[in-house]
Amino acid sequence: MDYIFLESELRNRTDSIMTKEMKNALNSLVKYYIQELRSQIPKRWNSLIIDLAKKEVYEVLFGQLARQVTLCLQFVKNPNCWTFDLAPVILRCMADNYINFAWIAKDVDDRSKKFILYGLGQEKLSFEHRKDQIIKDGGDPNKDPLVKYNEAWLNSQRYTFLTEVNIGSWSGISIRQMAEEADCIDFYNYVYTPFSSVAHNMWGHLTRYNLVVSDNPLHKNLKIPVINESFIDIYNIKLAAMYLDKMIRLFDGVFKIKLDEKSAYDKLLSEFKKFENQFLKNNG
Amino acid sequence: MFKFLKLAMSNKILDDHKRKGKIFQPPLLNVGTFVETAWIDYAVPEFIWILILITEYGVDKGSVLALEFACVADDYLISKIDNGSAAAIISSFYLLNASEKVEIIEKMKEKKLLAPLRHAFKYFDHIYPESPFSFLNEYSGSEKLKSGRSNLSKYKLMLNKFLDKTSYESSIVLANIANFLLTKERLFVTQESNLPALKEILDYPNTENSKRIASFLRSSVNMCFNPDVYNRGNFWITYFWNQNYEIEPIQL
Repeated sequence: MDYIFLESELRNRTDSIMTKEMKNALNSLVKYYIQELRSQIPKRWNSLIIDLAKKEVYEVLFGQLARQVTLCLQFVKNPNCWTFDLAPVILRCMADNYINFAWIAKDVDDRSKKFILYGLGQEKLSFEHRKDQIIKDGGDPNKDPLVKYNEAWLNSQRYTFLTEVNIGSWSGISIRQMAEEADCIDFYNYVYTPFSSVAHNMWGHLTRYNLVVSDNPLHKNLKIPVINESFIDIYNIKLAAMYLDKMIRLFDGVFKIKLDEKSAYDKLLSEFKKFENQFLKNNG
Repeated sequence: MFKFLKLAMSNKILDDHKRKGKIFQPPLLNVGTFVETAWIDYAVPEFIWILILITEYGVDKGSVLALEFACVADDYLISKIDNGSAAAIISSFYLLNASEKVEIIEKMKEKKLLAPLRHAFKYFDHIYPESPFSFLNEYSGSEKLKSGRSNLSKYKLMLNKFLDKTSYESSIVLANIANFLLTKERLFVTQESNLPALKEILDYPNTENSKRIASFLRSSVNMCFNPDVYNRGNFWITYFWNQNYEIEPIQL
């Protein structure tokens, strides 16, 4: 698979256009890491004896790990996402996934089920809204293919007429409390919270990336909107890989998995170091 | 976001639900002591034996065999467990002692039903060596199956239909449970209920009456698995699913 990096978009930290050699090296680095990522879940799944009496535990924890790998993988192979406008949105999503995972890991049997039931309730609420909208539009929800499909999907897991809808948080506590209980409050403070500012389009992000102060003294330092051609920062790859690695290490602890090999993250760091030495150091 | 949800819900959405804090409970969960049964977790492993008999001998003969066997076993099980459907639930058979097992075998032999019973459960025993029914073939002296693999694809096909609670096969099995409970006078249907006759299930799902009776059966099956009378952590249901997985584990 080739990764198409547009020269107009792909710049390094110092805003210099990438050379062809650098682009090829980055392609190789990304390909190498992606290959490593693809083997992470199979080697873990295949090492376990699956206990179907605890089906939900495997479904939820492996599902969360698969989500984290997917986010990391797609992020790594999409350089257009490595800007400060987009990267934190995805990285925050990974941080959120990690905190949920870490909290569930403290009581896997009970919290896995809770996580599923909450999710099914949200699905039910969503299609109840759709049914309501169809009625308001003068239609018949019973004839709507999407409603039918969603209802059948939900019923295959739990009957809709038995599904509760929870409009609070799924865990019953705030994400901050979850992070505290899951021993990852630092991660919450230094990763989740600052990236939330970007994901929620808060003032801190807007003033840095979407507004610029008028240089005319007559304008009372008025901030005016601007659409920047954002730079990409390849160090964001390392962040995504780090958040995935954090989850993998916790995952291996929960299932007592011991793999006698260097982690995918460590392998990436080694390769990244080579890339860095060759292309980034001299650029300041 | 929550303000928006509250507003939306104050109009129409979920207005039949009972609100408890941030949770909207569906009406059925607020009626009496309704307990939801996880069909795949409990009913499939516990009732699979009835489907095996029906698959092997057809609905008529298989149902007669299932009823006779359940009625014979019921005499030994009913005093051991506070669940009226005990003899229809395979895990209950773990409660039998050696002499009771021999007596059941003798009684089935007298009724000339032992041989077909043994035949039907031969490959079942092979798949599940620790099945509560293994005693049926244990005393037979006949050679155990060396491999149940040839029957496995047939078994998987049957199991696949049974996973769907609303399938024809599942409905027939449920009708067998109801028939057993009616025979033992542990289930009563009042005249006022206007419920179609049980035999209407044979036409499922092609007639309205068959759909009504199937729906009734599906809702009634919950009483067999009420945690007050049924051990939801019993060995068989865990063993059944893990044994299935072990036969064909998923390798990624």
